Amino acid sequence: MKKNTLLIVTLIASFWVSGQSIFERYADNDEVTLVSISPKMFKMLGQMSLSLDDPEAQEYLEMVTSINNFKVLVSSNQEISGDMLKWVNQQVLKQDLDELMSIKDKEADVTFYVKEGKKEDYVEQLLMYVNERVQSGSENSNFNINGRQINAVLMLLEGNIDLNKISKLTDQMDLPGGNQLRKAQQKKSL
Amino acid sequence: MKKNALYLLTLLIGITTLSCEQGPSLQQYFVEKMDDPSFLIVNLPIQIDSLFQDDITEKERNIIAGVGKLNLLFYKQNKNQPEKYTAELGEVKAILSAKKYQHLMDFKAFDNAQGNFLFEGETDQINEGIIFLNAKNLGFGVLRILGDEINPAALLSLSKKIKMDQLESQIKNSVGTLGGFMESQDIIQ
Repeated sequence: MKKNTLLIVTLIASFWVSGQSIFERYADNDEVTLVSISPKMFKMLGQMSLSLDDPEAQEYLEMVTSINNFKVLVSSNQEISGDMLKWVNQQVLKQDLDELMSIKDKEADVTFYVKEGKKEDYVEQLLMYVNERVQSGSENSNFNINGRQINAVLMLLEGNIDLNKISKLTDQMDLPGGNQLRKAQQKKSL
Repeated sequence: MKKNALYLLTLLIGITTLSCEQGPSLQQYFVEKMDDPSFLIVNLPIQIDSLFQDDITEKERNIIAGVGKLNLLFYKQNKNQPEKYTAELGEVKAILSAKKYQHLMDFKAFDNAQGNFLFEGETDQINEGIIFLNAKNLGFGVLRILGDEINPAALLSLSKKIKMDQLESQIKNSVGTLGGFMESQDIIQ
């Protein structure tokens, strides 16, 4: 009987953990940097864009509101990075994502996954995972934020995203991976 | 067997009631800390009417009237009381994790800083907006924007009609209070 109860508890616990997105799981962890903009925020921005008559801001807002979910997670901990990779792989299977491209250079491995949208050049979901390559001999990471070494970056974008426009946005936000994203976008339009 | 099932059932009911139970509200927390010298609490009844030019329509006036007041709470980090900081921060975070608060934006930079924008209501009918900021070396602050079905999009479209000089003087007044608080704390330390 005890075994059964334990089994049920484990089952519930595992459901709970797997149902949670990786971003929620580490929302309160002190070894990550996290940026999250919720669908509600994008909805509100959309409502605002209707009431603005500045054409320049209009264009910018239109681009922003084509996104409805934006999340970035930066980890400084090997274990968390591993968990992030696991989540990415799960997501690829579950959501049936295609690999857009992967770049391996001496500093990092970068992989982009997309869920194709209805139109050409548009994607419904874009997932980027950057994993730092630990060099033998040197213990120091190549990347750091405020003295913290980072070893993995995960970015998630959802919406009706025009790949041609998105790199403009990442340029302005100065996000990690912006360069790679531009390359990815060029490759896709070939 | 039956006993066990009963036990499990009780446990489940216990968990559900626990998660439904209403925690302390932000309002209560603000009131509680009123007399605590580590906290600065400012209530700003916004005389929003005086901020706007006179040529606003009745409809526009209604949009403005939705905004009630601003409440600000600020806890200044005190190196001599690290436990208090942790405890108060935990309490605020617990209050803000209530289901009724929906997240607009969150950011977090390791353990150095954290920020959350939350609201209660619908995106065009906000009853309470909350900005929470925490920086390890400064302290934390909570700004509440209280109102009745505030429509941020409509407010934005009205922003052109704001009298800038009025706004400036109102902001200067409230910032002055904050600056005074920081200084008074420094003298005590």
